[in-house]
Amino acid sequence: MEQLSQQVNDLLQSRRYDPEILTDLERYVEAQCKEGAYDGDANLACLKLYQFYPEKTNVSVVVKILLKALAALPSSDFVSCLYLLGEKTQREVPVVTVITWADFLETGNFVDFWNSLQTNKDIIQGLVGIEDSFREFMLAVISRTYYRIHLSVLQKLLCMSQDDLICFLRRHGMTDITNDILRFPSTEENQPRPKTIGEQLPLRKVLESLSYYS
Amino acid sequence: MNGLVEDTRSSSWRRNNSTDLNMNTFSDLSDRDADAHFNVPESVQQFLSYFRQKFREGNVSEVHTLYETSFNRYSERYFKTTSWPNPEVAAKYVDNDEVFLLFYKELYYRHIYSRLQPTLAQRVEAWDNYCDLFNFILNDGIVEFDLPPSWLWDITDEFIYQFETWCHYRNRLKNKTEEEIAYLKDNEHIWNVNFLLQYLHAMVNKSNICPWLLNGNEPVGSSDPDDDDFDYSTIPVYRFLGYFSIIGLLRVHCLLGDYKLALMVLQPLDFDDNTALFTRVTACYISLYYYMTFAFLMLRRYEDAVRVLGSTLLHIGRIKQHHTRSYQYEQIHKRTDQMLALLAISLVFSCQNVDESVNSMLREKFGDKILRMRQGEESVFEELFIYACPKFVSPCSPDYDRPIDRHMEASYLQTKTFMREVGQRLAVPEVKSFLSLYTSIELAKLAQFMETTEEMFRSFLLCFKHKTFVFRGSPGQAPAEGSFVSCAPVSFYVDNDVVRVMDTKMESKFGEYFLQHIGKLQDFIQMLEQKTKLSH
Repeated sequence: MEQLSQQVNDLLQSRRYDPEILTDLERYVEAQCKEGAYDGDANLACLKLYQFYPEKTNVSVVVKILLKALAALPSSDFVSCLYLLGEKTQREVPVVTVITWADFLETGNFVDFWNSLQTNKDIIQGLVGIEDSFREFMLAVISRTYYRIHLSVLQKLLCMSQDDLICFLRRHGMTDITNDILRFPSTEENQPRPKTIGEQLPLRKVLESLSYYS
Repeated sequence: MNGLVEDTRSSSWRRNNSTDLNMNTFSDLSDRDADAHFNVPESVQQFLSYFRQKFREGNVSEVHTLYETSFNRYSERYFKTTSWPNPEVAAKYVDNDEVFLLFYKELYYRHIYSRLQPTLAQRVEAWDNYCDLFNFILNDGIVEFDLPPSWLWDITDEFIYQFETWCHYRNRLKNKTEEEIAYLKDNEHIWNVNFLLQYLHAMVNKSNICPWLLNGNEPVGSSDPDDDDFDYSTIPVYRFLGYFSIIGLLRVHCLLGDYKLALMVLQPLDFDDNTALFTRVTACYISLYYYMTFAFLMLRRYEDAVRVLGSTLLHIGRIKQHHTRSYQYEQIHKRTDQMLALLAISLVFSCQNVDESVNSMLREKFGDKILRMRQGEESVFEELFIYACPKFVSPCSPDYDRPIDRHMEASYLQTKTFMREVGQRLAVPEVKSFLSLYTSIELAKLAQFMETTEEMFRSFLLCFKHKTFVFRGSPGQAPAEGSFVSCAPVSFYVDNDVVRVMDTKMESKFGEYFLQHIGKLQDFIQMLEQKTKLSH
């Protein structure tokens, strides 16, 4: 994998817009899916070549890139991918489905996301560990929103049985459970603490203003 | 890199060999032009000859005046509705100076693009001339020359502009003749996006501008062309062309919708440097900040967009007065308004404020629209976005067998994706307005007030937290860099079934207050000084 990643990086340095490197880029996407790795920049370069040479578009690779980008939330990788897709690709059935998934995830609608995923399981086939990647994103959002949460609510949000959930939480260092209520490790956001917005006046701004008058 | 240049050159040779026959079909117009200019006014003849003389002497300040002022004056006087003398005719007055003619041709076609409707033949000739010009430059042609930075910027910028118009032209098939379509089909290399990018990259590499920038604006090699480690960044013409090509790449990537790469090419630029090369040409300064902040907006970096647009608009407000009579004034004015619109959109999604003077510009221009966006009116977002966005292009050739107009497709797709994001965010202001009414309330109750189910309300809260967790850079960082921070207009957390909202205290802003009054005092003093001058 490391070797492949290095090789692709070299190719992007020297021949970023050469359609002949597509086979390598596509192979790299497949490898990322199998090994649970991720290289957003290389994948964008692949989509860009599809944009330049639409006849070479491989929809199944596009779907994989989109899924990997979606699992990389909260980064903006997924929209970055969408901006590069042509109208025709955006209308392909699996692409349409993945775009609805993005809508669900981005609007906190995790329950509907899992429902749709269960009925379209074939789309994520071959993407090792992708469901857990989605869960990690969700857990990060949930832990910024909740200080304490009932396990039954969390189970629904993450679509897991109670036993699996407890294992998953333990893996992420969250073990403070009493009476089926989980307490998240405290962060700046889930603590009762008044926020103060101070004045932000960088020196640069003062200098800019003063230099104008001098 | 040399390989790249060879490639492109051979493609334009191919055109010369195989497509000249085709070209004859379109060349009537240029012939007629030549006839029309058979009688070139004597003052124009003298101007051309003088222009060429100063160009050869390397008298930059004189060339600057001739380029910026005289050329436009003559255009206004003699060539308002026609083109400048055909390069073949003009050759007579400049001693057949091939180098000067390369530059003259660029001006000639640029003038046609700005005043007249270029024909297919002229678009193709303009492309060929760019290939010749860039190949000449890349093959050390202008090592001995010196040209004003504004001219070099205009060449780079116009090159991309003509590419942009070509993409739109090619995708508008409805009113094209069969001959024209056949020609387009056979000549994929003309204004090809790949060649365009290769020329810009080749210019960046040739100029050695990146090492120059990373070395604190100092060349890393020798300034003697005979030395083995001769460094092209020691020659101003190459240094500027390389630098401007970086900003050109930013623009091209934005037009293609590749915003991440657009920001990544800016990596070597130093934004803290008051004498950075982009400050030398106003049009370049504006282009850089317009496309950079547009990329921020598209990558959901609203906080960065607000920060950078705020200070840029302040700066433009100050320099604008120096340009009131320049031909660039219109352009500056339009871009400023577009940037204000970008700022209006970003502000709705951000939790920052901008400087009071920028704020008053905003209120005057888009006050009502900002209000409506805050209330969640999606159509206003779309309207402002379409007004403020660049002219996106589809880089690939259309389906020539289905003659329909597809030139708006790229814009449509970018707008659609942007509006998807807007739609996702609509819950944020609504949740905020409800939350700020309470300090502690049961989740189920609040859901009821918002007329939704508890489950739905939980997802609104998650959406709020997700959308206010943003990627943000800082002034010292490269544009592509940054980290995630929480930027929520209201802080809250859920404790099992109860939502607890935290107070936010605002500290008084003494610094800003003093700055404002220092400014007012200065303006007042200036006014008094002028009054006393006048009365003397």
